[in-house]
Amino acid sequence: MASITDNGDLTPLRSNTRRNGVSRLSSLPVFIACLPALIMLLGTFLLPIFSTLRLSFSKWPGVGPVDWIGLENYSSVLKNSEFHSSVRLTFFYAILSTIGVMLTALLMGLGASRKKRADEPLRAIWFLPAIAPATAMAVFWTISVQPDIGLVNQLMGKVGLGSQHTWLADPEAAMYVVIAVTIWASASFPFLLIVGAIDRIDPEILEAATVDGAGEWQQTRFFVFPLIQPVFVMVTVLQFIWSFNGFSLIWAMTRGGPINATTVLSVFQYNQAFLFADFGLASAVGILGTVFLLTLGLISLRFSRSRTAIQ
Amino acid sequence: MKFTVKRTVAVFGVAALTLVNMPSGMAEDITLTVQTDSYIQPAFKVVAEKFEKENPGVKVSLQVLDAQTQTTTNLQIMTSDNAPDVASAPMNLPPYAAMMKAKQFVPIDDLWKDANLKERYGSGVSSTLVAPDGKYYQVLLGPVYYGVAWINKDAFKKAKIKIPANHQIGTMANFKSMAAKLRKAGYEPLSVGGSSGYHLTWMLDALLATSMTPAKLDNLMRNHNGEIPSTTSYGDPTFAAALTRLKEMYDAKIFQNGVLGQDQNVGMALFASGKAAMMMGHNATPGGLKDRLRVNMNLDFLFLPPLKAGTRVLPNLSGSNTYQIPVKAKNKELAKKFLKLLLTDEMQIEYVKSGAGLAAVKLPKAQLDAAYSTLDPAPRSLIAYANQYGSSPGWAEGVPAALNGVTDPMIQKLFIGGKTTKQIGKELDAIRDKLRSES
Repeated sequence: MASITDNGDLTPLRSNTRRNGVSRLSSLPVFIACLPALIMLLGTFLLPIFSTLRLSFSKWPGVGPVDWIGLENYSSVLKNSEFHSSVRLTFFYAILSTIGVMLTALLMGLGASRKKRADEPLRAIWFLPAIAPATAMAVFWTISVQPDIGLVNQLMGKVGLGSQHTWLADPEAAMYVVIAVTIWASASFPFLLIVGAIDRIDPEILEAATVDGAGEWQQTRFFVFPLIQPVFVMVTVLQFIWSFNGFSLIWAMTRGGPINATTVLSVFQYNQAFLFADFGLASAVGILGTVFLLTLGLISLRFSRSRTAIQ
Repeated sequence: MKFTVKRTVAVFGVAALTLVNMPSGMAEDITLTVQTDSYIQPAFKVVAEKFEKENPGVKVSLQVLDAQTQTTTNLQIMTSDNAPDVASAPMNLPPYAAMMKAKQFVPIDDLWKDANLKERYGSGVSSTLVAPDGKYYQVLLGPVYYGVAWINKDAFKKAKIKIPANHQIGTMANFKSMAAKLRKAGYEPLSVGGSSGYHLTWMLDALLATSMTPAKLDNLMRNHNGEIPSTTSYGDPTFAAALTRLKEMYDAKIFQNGVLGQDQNVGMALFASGKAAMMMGHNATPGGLKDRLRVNMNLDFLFLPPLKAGTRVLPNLSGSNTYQIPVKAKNKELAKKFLKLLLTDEMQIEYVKSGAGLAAVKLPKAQLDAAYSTLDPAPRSLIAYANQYGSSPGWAEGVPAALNGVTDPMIQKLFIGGKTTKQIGKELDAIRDKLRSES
C-alpha cells in the first residue's frame, strides 16, 4: 500500500505509520474492525478452497459419504488424455482471447480518449456488451453463425462469400468462433480501465510533446504506452485469469463440442462433476488449475512490483 | 409526509383489520414443489389445479427442468435444503443412481399399496421399478416412444416424394435418394441435435434394435452390472454395423448442414420454420411444436432404414420417466398424495390427452381410446402403429450415463474420421468392465 505525498511521489504507507508510532497502538482496533470482513472471507473463500482440497483426495458422487482415496484422483487425471487435451485447449483459448481482448480494448481506448465530440457516445456503445448476460450473448452468436439461418452467414452470402459456413460444427473452426465472441463480449471492461489510464495522463506531457514536434503515433508510442503500462499489464493478467477460468460462454455456445474441440478445463471439470458424478476428480482438476493461476498471479505481482521499483 | 397521531392510528387500524379479516389458511399456505419437464408441464398443470382444489391451503409450484439439468445438476437440487417435494429423476441418468446409492429417496411402498400400483402397472413394469432392497422408491408416469423421424408432409409434396404408407424408409438407397430430392427442393433433409449430447445416441438406439438380436441387445443393456454374465461385447459386428450406418448417413449429407454445431433446439427450430423436412423426435414432439413453438404442421412419421433388410422398424420405448420423493423434501405426505393423484385413472387420461406420453397404468379401453382420439392425427397414428406392431427397447435407456453419456462425442468423432467403430467398441468395453468391477 502507498500514499501520495504533497509533491506527488509515492511513499510506502507502512513506513509512515511506523515512523508516527501509530501502527502498534492501532493494530487491535484495526483487527477488530476487520474481523467481520475476515470472517466473511473465511466463510466464502477459504472454507470452499479447503473443502475442494479435501474432496480432491476423495471419491464422492455428489451425495452420501466421502471416501478418502489419497492421490488417486491426481494420478488418474494426470494420465487422462482428455485432461491433456483440455489443458492445451485452455491455454490456446486463454492466450488468444487475452491477446484479442487487450488489443481491441487498447485500440478502442486510444480511439475514445482524445477528447473528441464522439467520445462519450463511443464509450457508451463500446461498453454495451459488458451489460448483456453471457448466456444471452452466447445464444445470440450461436444462432448468428449457423449456416443459412444465421445473420453472419446471411450477410456473407449477400456479399458473395457464401452462406453455408458451418463453423460451430467444424472442430478446426469452432474454437476460433468462441474466441471471437469472447473478445467481442469481454473487451468492454479492459477498455474502460485503459481509457481511465489514458485520461489520467497529464495533458501537459502530450502538449509538450506536440510542441517538440511529436506526431500522434509518436506521442502514443513514446508517452501513452509507457504511462499506461502498469494498468495494461495488470488488466492483461486479470483477463488471462478470467479467460483461463471461462465457462458460461463456451458452455452455452458449444457445450465443449464439436468432438471436444472446445472442451477447456472448466468444461472438462463440469462434465466430470455433474455428468459423471465424480466430484473428487473434478476437484483435483480445480486444484491443479488454481495452483497454476496462483503461481501466475504471484509471478505477475512480483514482476509489477519490480517494474514499479525501477520506475 | 407528516406522521400525525391520527394518521398513525389510522394506519395501524387498517393493518389490524386486514389481519383480523385474513382467512386463517392464508397465513399458513403450504407450497408443494413438483419437478417436471416442459413436455409434461401441461398435464401437470391439470393435476396441480385438482390437487389445490382437493387440498385447500396447498399451492403447487411446478419446477420445470430441462434435459441438461435432469442429467447433471438436479442431484444438487434434490439434496439441497430447498429440495423439491416431488423429484423428476429418470432412472437412466446419473442423479438417480447417486441418490439411490446414498439412500436419498423416501420408500413409498405405502403409496404403491394405496394406489394398487403393482396390479395397475402389471408385473412387467413393476419389476423394473422395484429397488434391489425390494422396496419401491418411485412411480412411473408414463412411457414415451422415441427413435422416430417426424416429417413435414408439405415438404415431401414439394420435393415430389411419395410418403411410404407403412412408415418404412426401407433401404439406405431410398433414404439417400429421398435426401437428395429434399435438398434439391431447398430443404435440409433430417435435422438432428448433433451437439446436444444425446440425440445421436437416440439414433443409435433406433438402429441397434434392427441390427442385434434381442438377446444380444438385452445383454448389452444389462452387462454393466457385475452380477449379469457378459456375453456381448461392444466390439460385436452388429454394434459396429449400427455405428457404420450412422456414419453413412452423415457422409451422404442426410443430416442438416452444420449438424455437429447444432443442438436439439436449433434442430427443432429448423424443422418448425420449414427449413428441414424431417426431424428426429418422440411421440411428444408434435405437441411441443404446437404448444411451445405455436406452429401447426402437416406431420407424418418415418423410421430409419433397418440394418437387416425387410425388418419392420419399431419405435423405441422409454420407461424412465419416473418420479420420487427426496429425503430432504419438506412435505413428504403431501408429495405422496400428489403422486397418488397423478396416477389415478382420471389424471392418467389427462396425461394421455396432453400428448406428452402414454398411460403407465392399465386403463379401461373405451376411456383410453377416447383419450387417444383427442390427440393430433400424427402422434395418434404413431401410437396406433406401436399398439399394432410393438416397440423396441432402447440401449441408452438401460445403461448408466458413464456409457450413454460418452457415446455422442464418440459418434461425432466417427463422423469426421477421428475414431473407428473398433476403437469405440474397445473404449465402451473398457468403461463397461470398469462399471462391472465397481458394481
